[in-house]
Order: sequence, then C-alpha cells, then structure tokens
Amino acid sequence: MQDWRQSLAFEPMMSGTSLWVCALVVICVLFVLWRASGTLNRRQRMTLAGLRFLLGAGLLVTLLGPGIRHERVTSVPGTVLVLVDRSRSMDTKARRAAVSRLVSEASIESLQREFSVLKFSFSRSIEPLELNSLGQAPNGKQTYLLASIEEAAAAVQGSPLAGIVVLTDGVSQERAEDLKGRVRQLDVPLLFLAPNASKSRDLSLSMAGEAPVAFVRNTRTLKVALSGRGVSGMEATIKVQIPGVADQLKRVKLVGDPARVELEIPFKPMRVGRQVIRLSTPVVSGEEDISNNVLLVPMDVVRDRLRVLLVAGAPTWDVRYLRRLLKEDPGVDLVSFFILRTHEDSSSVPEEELSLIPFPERELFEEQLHTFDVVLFVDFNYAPYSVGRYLGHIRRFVEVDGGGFAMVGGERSFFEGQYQDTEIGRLLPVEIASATADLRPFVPLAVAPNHPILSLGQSADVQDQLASLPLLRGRNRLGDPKPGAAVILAHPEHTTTRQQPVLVAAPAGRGRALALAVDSLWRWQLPAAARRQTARPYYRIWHNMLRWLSGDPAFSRLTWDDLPASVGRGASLPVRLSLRGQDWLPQANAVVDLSLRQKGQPERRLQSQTDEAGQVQFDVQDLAPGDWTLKASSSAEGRQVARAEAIVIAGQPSLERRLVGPDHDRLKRLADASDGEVYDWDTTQLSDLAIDKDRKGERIEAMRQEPLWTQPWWILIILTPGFIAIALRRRWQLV
Amino acid sequence: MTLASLALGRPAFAFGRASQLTFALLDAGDAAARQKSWARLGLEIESRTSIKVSSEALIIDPDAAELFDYPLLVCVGQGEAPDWPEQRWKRLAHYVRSGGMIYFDALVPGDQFGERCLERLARQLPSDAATQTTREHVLFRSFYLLKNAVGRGIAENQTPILELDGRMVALGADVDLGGAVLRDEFGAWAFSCDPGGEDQREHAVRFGVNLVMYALCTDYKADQVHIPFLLKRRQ
Repeated sequence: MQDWRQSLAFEPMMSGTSLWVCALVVICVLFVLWRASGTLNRRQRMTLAGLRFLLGAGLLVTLLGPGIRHERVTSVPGTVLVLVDRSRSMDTKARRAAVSRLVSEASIESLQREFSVLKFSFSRSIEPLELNSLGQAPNGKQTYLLASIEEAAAAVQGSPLAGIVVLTDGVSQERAEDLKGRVRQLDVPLLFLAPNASKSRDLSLSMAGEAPVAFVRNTRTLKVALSGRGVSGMEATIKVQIPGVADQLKRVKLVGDPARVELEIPFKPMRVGRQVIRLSTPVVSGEEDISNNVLLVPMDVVRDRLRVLLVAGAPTWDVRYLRRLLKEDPGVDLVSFFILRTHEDSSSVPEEELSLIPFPERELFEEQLHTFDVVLFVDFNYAPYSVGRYLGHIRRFVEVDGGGFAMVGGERSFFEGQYQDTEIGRLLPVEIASATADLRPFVPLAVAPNHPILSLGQSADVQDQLASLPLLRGRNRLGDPKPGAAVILAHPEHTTTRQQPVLVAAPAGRGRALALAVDSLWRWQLPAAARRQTARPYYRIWHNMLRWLSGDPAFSRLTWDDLPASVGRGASLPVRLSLRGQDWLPQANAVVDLSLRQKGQPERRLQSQTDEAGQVQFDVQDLAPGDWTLKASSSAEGRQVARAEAIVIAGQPSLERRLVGPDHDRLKRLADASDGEVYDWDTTQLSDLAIDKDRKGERIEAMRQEPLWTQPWWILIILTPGFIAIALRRRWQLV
Repeated sequence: MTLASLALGRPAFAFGRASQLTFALLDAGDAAARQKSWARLGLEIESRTSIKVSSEALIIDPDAAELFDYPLLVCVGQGEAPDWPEQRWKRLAHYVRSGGMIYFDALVPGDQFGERCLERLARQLPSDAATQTTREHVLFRSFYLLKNAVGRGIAENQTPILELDGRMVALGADVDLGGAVLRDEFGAWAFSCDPGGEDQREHAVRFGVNLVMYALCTDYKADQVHIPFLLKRRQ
C-alpha cells in the first residue's frame, strides 16, 4: 500500500555559519533602531519594535528555506533476529538435535514470510549464522548472553525490530548488572527457546573460587562446588584424590533445582611443584553431560620458606658466619645443631650446670628429615654420634624425596670424616680422595664460570672476582667428579687429567647433592671487609648454592620453555626444552628423553636431539583427557645428569560446561524485563512464537520538496510588518 | 668401610691452625700481661668443648691488616680507654659491624676500663647499640648455665654490652677474666679469686668458655628448639 505524506521541511539557502552571521546582523539592526527610537512615547516605541522584530524573524526563517516535503512511503515488515547459542554447554546430543530441528530452512522461510529475518550464532560475541554449520559441535568457551543480544540488535538498521528469538540453555558467564535497564533500552521482546528444565539431569563439579597457591607443608583449603539439575534430594559422593594422601570420599545432599553445594577440602601438600588434585562424582542415569563430573585442579605448591637443617661437628668460624647468613634470611627457616662437646671432652661438670642437650639424631634423621628441604653437614663427622645408621635416610631424602644435601669441608668432613664407602659417599657428586687435607692457602679456579652458583653479583670476570677475595685456607682433597657432576670451583692445580675439585654439584635421583671442600669460605665475609669490600660474594655464593640445592628451576640444566599448563581437547601439545652442559653453556647434540604418563594410559616415550642452541622440541599429538606427568631427562655415561618434570592437563572441560543448564531463572528475568517469554523448545516451533506483526517499518519510495519562499503570498506575509511600520511612521509624522 | 681406611684408622685432624680459634689481643699497652692467660684459657676450652683453640694467643696491632682475620678480639687495660685516634675507633666499629666481636676486660677487678672502651666505641655506632646483659642473655647459657660475668672478680651488676641487630658485638666485663686463669712460671695461680676462691676460678673458666661459645655460635642457644629443654633444666 502506497500513500503520499506531506511535512514541513527546511533547505537552508546558506551555510550554518552564514545564517548565524545574518541573525547577528538582524539583531544589531533591531538594537540600533530601538536605541534610535528613544524620543518616541512608550506605545509607539513598542509597536515599531514589535513590527521590526517580526520582519527580521521572517527574513531569517526565509533564509532557512522552508518548504513542503511530499513523501511516498511503503510499509515493510519488522525484523526478527534469530540467535543460536553455540557455546560448549550446548554441545549435548539433545540440545544439538533441538537446535537443528528448530532452526531449519523451512522454519526460517516460514518466518521470512512475515518478517525480515537475520540469523546469528553467539557465544562470547555474535557471528553470522550459516544453517549448514549447525551440524558441527558448538565450541564457544564462554557465553555472554545479553551482550550478544545487544550486539545483534545494534547491527539492525532501517527496519524496526519485531522480536529477538534466542535459542539457548541460558548458561552465561556475564554478570547481570542493571539487567532491566539494558533490556528495556533494547525496546523489543526477547523470546527464548530453551530446553525443558524438568527433563534435564546433570551433575557438575567446578571451582568455587580461585585455586589457591599452596605452600608446602601448610594446610590450605580448596573450595569446590557440586551443582546439579534434575537431581533434587539426591545424595552425591565426591571422590577426592590428592597426591601423597589417601583417597577421601565426601557425601553431600543436593537440595533444590538447580542445586548447588559448596565444599571446603583441606589439604597439606608435602612436595614443591605442580600437582593435580582430582575430584570426581559418579555419573547418574540420564545425565546430559558426563564430562563435567570430573574436575582436575592444578595446584602450584611453593615454599613459604626454605627449611634448612644445619648440622655442625663443632663451632667454627665457618659455621658461625653461615648460620648468621641463614638466620638473617627471612626466606630461610633454619634448624641448626652444633656439636659443642664430644665424648673425648672433659665432662666433670654436672649436667644440670650445662645448657647442653643430647644430639637428637633419631628425631633429626628419622622422624623430621622429611620436613626439611636442604640438609647441610658442615665439618661434621657422623661416626661418634650413631648417625651412621641414618646416612641411608639422608640418601633417600635426596634421591627419592627430592631434597638437597651439601657437605662443607673441615677437619671432620669427607676423608677426614671417613665418609668414603658410606651412603653419603655414594650420594656425593665427587669421589673422596684417600688423602689428608691440603693446608696451603689458594685462590679457587672458576672451572664453570657460567654456572649460576658463580653469579656473584658483580659485572667483573668471575676469576677476577675470586682473585680479589681473601685466600681460602686449605681444602679437603676430593677425587674425580662422578658422571654428570659439574665442577664449579677447583684448586689452581686442577687439570683435566688430574682433577682437584673444590666445589662440585650434581643431581642425585630426584634431588641434588653438593660438595664444598673448604672450611674457610667465611673469609669472604669478615676478612673481606678489611679491604672495604662488601660481603656480597659470600652471600651470593651461599644463596646460589641453597637455590640450587632446593631445586630452583632457574638452576636446572634442563628447563621447559613456555610449556602450556593445559591443552584443549584434541589439540597438540608443543614441548620445548633447553639443555645446558656441565659448563652451563647450551649443550648441542645431546639426547633428551621425554616420557608422558597418565594413570590408566600407556606411557608415551619420545626422544630427540638438541640443536646448536641446546634446544629440543617435541610435538605431542592425541593426548587423552586427564593430567599428564611429563618427565624429561638427559643422560651422560649411563647416569642421568639433568631432569625436568611438569604436569599438563589435557581436554579439561571449560567453565562453560561446568555450569549446569538450562538456567531458566536467568531467561525468565530477561524475558519479563522485555515483555517477552520463555518457551519450551520441545513443544514450540519458530512459527508458534508470539511475534508482534504490527511492529512494522516503512520505506520512502519517492520524495519531492516545494519551497515556500518562492510563493508571492509568503513574500507578502514576510514583508507586511515592514509596510505597516512605514505606514505608522508616516502617520505619526516621524518621516 | 674399606680395609685401607681401617688400616689408616681415623685420620688425624688435618686443617691445623687454619681452622682453629686464635685469641688475638689488641695491643692497648697491657696485652702482654695477659697473653699467657688466654692461651691457658684456650687449653681449658679445648679440653671441655669441641672447639679447637690455637695454643698461642697473639698480640695484634689495632691498625694491622690481618685484624679482620680474627673474629674475636680481646682488649685488656686499666683506667681510661686507650687514647687512640678517631680513625682507629672507626676501624674497630667497622670491624664489629662486619661481624667481629671484641671483649674488653680490666687488669684489676672493678676497674672501669671495659665500660670506658665501650663508651668510646659506641660513639661510632647507632645510638641504641649500648645496652647491658640480662640474666637471661644467651651469653650466660651458651655452654654453662651462669648468672653473671666472673673472673678474678665478680660482676655485681649486669654487664654493659654493645648490640647490633640483636647480636652482641662488644662486651666490657671488668672482672679480669685473664687474671683468674693465669699461672705463674711455677704453675701456681698468679692471682687469687675473691671472694669465691677456687669455686669462683672455676666459674671464671666457665665464663670464658661461654664467651668463646657466644663468639662462635652467637644466639644458637636461643633457637626455639632449645628453649623447652633449657626451661626444664632451670626449674
């Protein structure tokens, strides 16, 4: 149906600036005339001013180009937006089938008979929807429901919106802030097609807060939530599996629909590094999505403080300055035991007059050993104190539990302490030479100047720094380093054929062992101060040794390069590693083994060789969902010399799939705020929706404009006040 | 254990003097009068504890480069503090700030030499460094359980000390610890200990042991693991 419509319209004869200038001129002229008419009586003055104002206003209106606009308009149908939720929560068999059935070619054509139809898919944002893409699995990681609706509405131009049809389960991660205001601003009914809540059943485990950073040997609480739909009244069991702890079963009752129960799970990690806590709940019959019944929580366990056990065979200056260094470090929790009196010393004084306690060897080396990160034997001989039986414990503490052990020199260490052929002797990274100490002072030789332990905090050459420090006084004699050990410092007489190591470090099983064959490192502290030098090298070398002993990843020869914490379902896992040699320079052409393990899955083993930059890359495909433990290692002469361990979670369902749907409450709130409705998509077709057909638009088919200022009557009307003014002036004999 | 090592037996202590404690007496005029005392005290310490002590005590020039090689210095004298130039006191302050410890003692019990020296040294240190021991101070339980400083005389009051960051860096005892352990050339005690006699002399030795233990272990005995035991012992 077509019709002509008239309206007043303006087509200015000049630009806006010119119009303003004209208006200003008119006002000035009127003002001057007003001032010039001061001699007239009040009535005459007001009359003339009024007429002049009407004349000026008429001229200005004429400059605006008034005219009559004639438009021929045609009515057009309103626009209907069809939005389809393509987030992962829609990836169930029933939901995919319902969407395919509702958004078919036929149903869209039917809708198009009365409306203009625009189709979009959405999750985090909207995209044009191709109907043939509905056969693919929805994979949006997040849903922003209202934001997507707003984005789609803003994309419509020309035709008014008659309605917005949204096929969704209502699961959304956006916060409902000012929901009503935002919906009303759309000014269009929202019509939701959603699954029938009473037919859905789902149990889902999710985090109820951030995964806490856990400190080793400190109790933390993990907050998780069990949500359920269609399971009101059910008592569910949650199995909690924490590494190193017996499995726990927790029972919770789900009340309401949807139901949600939050649980607090205390745990006390005993090992540093990434660990995975696994929570699972059994699948109930008819459950829509079983992937969210398992929750893997990656937990980064860090040290609050480095727990160091310092055992000294006697009070010496070396022990005294080392203890002071450790005590002053807020990052170190130190337990120290000094042997203040031996069996050979005089003991005529009654015990109650002494402040001595028996050496608690059993408590230290059997009961409490696991609570430490690093054990230091400083000038300590085990034999007089019945510690021999515990040396194997220390070796296991290092090789199995991943601790760090260092022996520091002195007249009770190494050969002098009779450690050869003991468990400690086997643990040490170097052979113990069967020779007594060398008492000559010396400047140590930096054999591996790039080793991080020799990062002494100064820019000068490492050897120059060592030469500037006070001489070290004597050393225990060490033999050849064991395979994989790094000789860091040596005696100046050290050669490749006749090795004279002084500081040697090597990984030992899961842990690390270090040998320092001097008892005069303290001379880099107080005696160094005599030369107005700082004690920084002393502090740096000890802190570096402690970091190395505690397994600081930065001090590992084999390191992961940007290893992702998780990979999506079906995605490949890129694994890159860097290897450094004993001299701590990139090691080329070395073989690196990589193993990937998951409980219940066959172990996967890969091997590759490092390139010139010491780097190696693996591309791991087809990882089954779950937590995979990655162990990389490099060996030399049959002994593992470098290792790295990590955990990667594969195929973990996203948060989107952990929110149980459909969320009818959310949809109902949105629909009510827009005068829309929520429909059960099992019993409704697109054609059944109550879309207002009267919300139509119009299109202008033709238009013409008739200017008024060209009409004689317009000119007459505009000029009439001027003529009257002239006439009155004549009559009042003012001319 | 190998047969070779069995045949060798336990190796002799091998590091010798390099790892031993050596008493270094600051040359303030009267050091020679007590040089043998400290060597004697060293023997007592070695026989009673696991500390290895050099058999000789050294007299060292306060300006000597090797001063910082000795983390424990002893300074004996009487009357006023040595009339040393300001620079020398500053050097001693740098020494204690860097981790050294100085024991000032008087040649005559009750003399204020130690206290005067502390006052002089304190001028180079933070204003709150000067304090005094309490009965619970670690110095009095670092090896033996003691109540106060003891030497040829007995400290009636608590002993003035200088502390930096909770560490005692200087002590002025004025009890003539050296005199209490000094023997004449015939092996007899050079001085009597008043008023306690031989019992007091034994306590003087114990104080000397504690002093050295503190220098080597600082607040080791204050470590928390020892507290329950020590509290039980004191009951």
